[in-house]
Amino acid sequence: MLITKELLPGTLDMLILKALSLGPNHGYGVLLRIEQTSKGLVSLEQGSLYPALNRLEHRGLIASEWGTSENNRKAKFYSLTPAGTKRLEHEASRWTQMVEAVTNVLDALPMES
Amino acid sequence: MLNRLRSAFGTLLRGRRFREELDEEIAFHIDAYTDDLIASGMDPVEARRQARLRFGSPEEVKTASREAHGVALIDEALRNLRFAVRGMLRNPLFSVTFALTLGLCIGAGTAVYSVVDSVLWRPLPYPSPDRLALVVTYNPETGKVPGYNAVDGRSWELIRDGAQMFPRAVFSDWPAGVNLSADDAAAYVQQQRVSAGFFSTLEVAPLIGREFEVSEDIPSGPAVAILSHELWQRTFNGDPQIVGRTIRLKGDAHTVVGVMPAGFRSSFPTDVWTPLRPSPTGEGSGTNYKILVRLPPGMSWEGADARIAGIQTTRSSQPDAPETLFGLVPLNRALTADMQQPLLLLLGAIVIMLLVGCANLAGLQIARALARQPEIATRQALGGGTGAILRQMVTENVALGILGGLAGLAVAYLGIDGLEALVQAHFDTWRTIDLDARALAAAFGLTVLATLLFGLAPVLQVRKFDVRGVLAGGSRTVMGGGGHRLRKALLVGEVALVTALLSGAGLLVRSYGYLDRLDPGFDAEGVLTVQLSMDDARYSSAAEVNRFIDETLAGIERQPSVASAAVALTLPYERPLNMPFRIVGVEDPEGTYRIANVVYVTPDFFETLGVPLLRGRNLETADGPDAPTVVIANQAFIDANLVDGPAIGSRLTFGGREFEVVGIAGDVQQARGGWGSSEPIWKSPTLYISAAQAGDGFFRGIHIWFSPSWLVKTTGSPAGLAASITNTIHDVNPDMPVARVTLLSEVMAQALARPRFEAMFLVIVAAFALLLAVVGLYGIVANEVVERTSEMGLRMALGATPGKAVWTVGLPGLQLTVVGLVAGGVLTAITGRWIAQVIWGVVPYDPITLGVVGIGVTVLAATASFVPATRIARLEPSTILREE
Repeated sequence: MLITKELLPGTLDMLILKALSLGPNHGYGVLLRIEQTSKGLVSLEQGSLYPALNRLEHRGLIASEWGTSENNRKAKFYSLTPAGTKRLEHEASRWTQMVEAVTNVLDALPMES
Repeated sequence: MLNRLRSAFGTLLRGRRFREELDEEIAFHIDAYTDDLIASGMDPVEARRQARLRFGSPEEVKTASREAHGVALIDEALRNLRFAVRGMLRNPLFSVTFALTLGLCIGAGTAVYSVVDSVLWRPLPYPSPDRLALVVTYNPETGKVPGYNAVDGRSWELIRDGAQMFPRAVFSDWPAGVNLSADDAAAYVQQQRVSAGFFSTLEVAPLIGREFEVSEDIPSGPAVAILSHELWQRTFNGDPQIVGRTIRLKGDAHTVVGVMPAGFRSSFPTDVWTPLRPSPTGEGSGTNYKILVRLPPGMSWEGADARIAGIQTTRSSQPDAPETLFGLVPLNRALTADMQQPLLLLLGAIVIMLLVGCANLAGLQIARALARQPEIATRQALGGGTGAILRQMVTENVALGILGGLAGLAVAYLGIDGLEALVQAHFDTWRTIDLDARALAAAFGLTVLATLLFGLAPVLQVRKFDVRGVLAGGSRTVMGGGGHRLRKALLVGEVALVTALLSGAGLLVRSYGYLDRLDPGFDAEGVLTVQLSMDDARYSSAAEVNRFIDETLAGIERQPSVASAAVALTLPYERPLNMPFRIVGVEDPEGTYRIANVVYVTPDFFETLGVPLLRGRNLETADGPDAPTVVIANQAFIDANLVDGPAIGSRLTFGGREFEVVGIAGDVQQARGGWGSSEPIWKSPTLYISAAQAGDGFFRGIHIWFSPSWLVKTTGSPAGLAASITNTIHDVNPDMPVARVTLLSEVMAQALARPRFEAMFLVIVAAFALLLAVVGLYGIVANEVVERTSEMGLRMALGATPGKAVWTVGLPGLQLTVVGLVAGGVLTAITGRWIAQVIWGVVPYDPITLGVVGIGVTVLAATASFVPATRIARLEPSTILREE
């Protein structure tokens, strides 16, 4: 299981963007969504989510709005902005590329030269 | 970027609400998690504890979230600003010295630059002013001489006919005070005579009416006038029907044909313009005109100069005469030629003061930074990032800089009006002077740059050194050497600049002293002068002028406190009329001519002024219009022209008549008139003729340029006499406005006003620079005292006398001063050649000036060095050592 500190730098932002691309949610919801979709492999230091959310909001990648949660409590809901959508696409393709590259290297077999 | 700034400042401004919202968000998060844990079967109390634990510190989360909005830097900046203000308040002497130095440099620099820029460099207020020029004649071997740009009437005809592609005009640059009357109003106004096309060449159209036509600009053309906007408003209440009205100028009826727009200025402040009616004879036989041209669109200056140079001048057609060429001088440069040198001198002085001020600020900064090194090192040792420390220092310096900038703005605003009045009084300019925003920005930038550069250098240097070394060294600093060396170099520079500046100021003072102490050649005590314009149709004949002179003098002499009274065309210390003349029986080479000043006087002139008659006889009442024409020459005239043979009885011709020299008078100081001498005043060769023997044409011609003065020697208070003399004149002619009533001593003071102003200005600037340098020196030695206290205590404990200790500490200051003095001497020698052009009666290497400056600087430096050093002697060695 990966905790926040073990994630590569910038990965948390990408995970949050991805989680929000599935639909607006509050901070706790984002956390649950990441843990669930990672099939339990990622366990975030919960507090660290909020500076990240604020940072993304500061950069204009997500927007926030006060709303009502499923159990009728006031909660702050975050949603992806168009800039956020674009950023997510970019980050995701870069991530895929990197994984592919690293995997290729790791899968390499000794060859005769 | 904008969004981020908005986000940062929004977060900052929302401050408390931002935190409250975060609190709420965090509470929701923990509650939701708790609920989920309970739902999964956990005990509620344990669930809440777990939720809190997993969340981490809410305070850290809040701080990090806030900083995510980019507010950290702003927070730090505000904190630094608070530190900076507290720091300034903790050390008020430093802060005040600093802000005042900065303020003085910025303010004075800006004000003086603004003056120089306004007077010399700002474009003239006409459309496309950079296309306007004066046509001058010059000898190609010597080149164009700035300031000498008058030409004669024949030259104008050549340009008028030969330069047809140029818009062109001719004007008289000689201010003439004339009498204006209209209905019941009488006023003494300034008149300028300009040709047809003058205003259209400047491309300024009259506000109402029109400019002069060629048919009005010919001899005996219709008498017309154009008014200035100010005169129109002041004397005619802005009468909209003014065009076509008749006014009397010099007693002659003139029809007003136009009014110029508000604020329009020609070459000097003018109330009324009349047609010049240029002619190659009379006035036009001498160089009394200036030719204005505008470059046609698309023509380059080189092209225009070549075209103008292609026109044959009058003199080049004569054999043997030196060749002369026509050429162009840009109008602005031509009009400001004689102000260039003195104004640049003032600017140079201010720049030197600015440099001294910057060096001083840098020195102060280095001292402060050195003192703070232990603090900086401590912070670094405790893990403070260099960036954060730098940011704090920058904030402190910028705060100081802003304080100084505000002080500078105040100095500039307060100083500019006074300076404007001074400059307009001492220089021949009508330009209004505004504070120049660019100059303010430049002066501000320069000083703040110096502040920052030297304030931060020591911090950057600390990085390179071992932090432990600084801390272990206690009050001593590891980089002291480097910082001190820099500071000492700055001080040597300051002393050098101040020495050069003081020498310059001293030379100007000596030069002014020389001019002021020159024997005037007459006694101004108790002499009142009253100037009247005789350029008036009522006084067009010699008989009328002389009747007016006789009647007014008789009335004045009847008054009890009047000792004697006379009339003279020009006063001593003023610029006189000059005329070419020949000596009968002396053959001068072709093309050369003799020149002398000519003054008409009444017989009591010499007695009234106490000018001694050295030989021969005085002018007498018998020397009337029908008697043989006689002249009194002064000694300078005899020395220059009649050294061989008996002077008395020599015969001279000038103005088309022959005169016999009947007497020799003592010399009086006169202002320079563009020939003979470059000194502001000199005893010029002068001829005195009797007013009674002057002809109609002579009076008419010279009264256009000169307004004669009535000189009254009184036994009582001259000032009290002014009203009764004015009344006497009005008894003879009620319509005669008085141009000027002043004491002769005032006229003398006025003649030397400019050298006095220059000397005073430089002395004040040099004094400020000296003060700055002395403060800097004092600071260095005081610093040295503090740093070497323990060393000196040790030495004294080992047997050194207090006197020896003081000497050791104070000596470096004196040594630095001597090095600075030597450098200053070199600087003075370099600038000497230039300063020689603006001083008289004293050489640029005047030993007295240089000696006084050298001794003065040394004494002051010694005081500034040894006063702080004596503190050592008062210390108890045992106390010092125990403190360590």
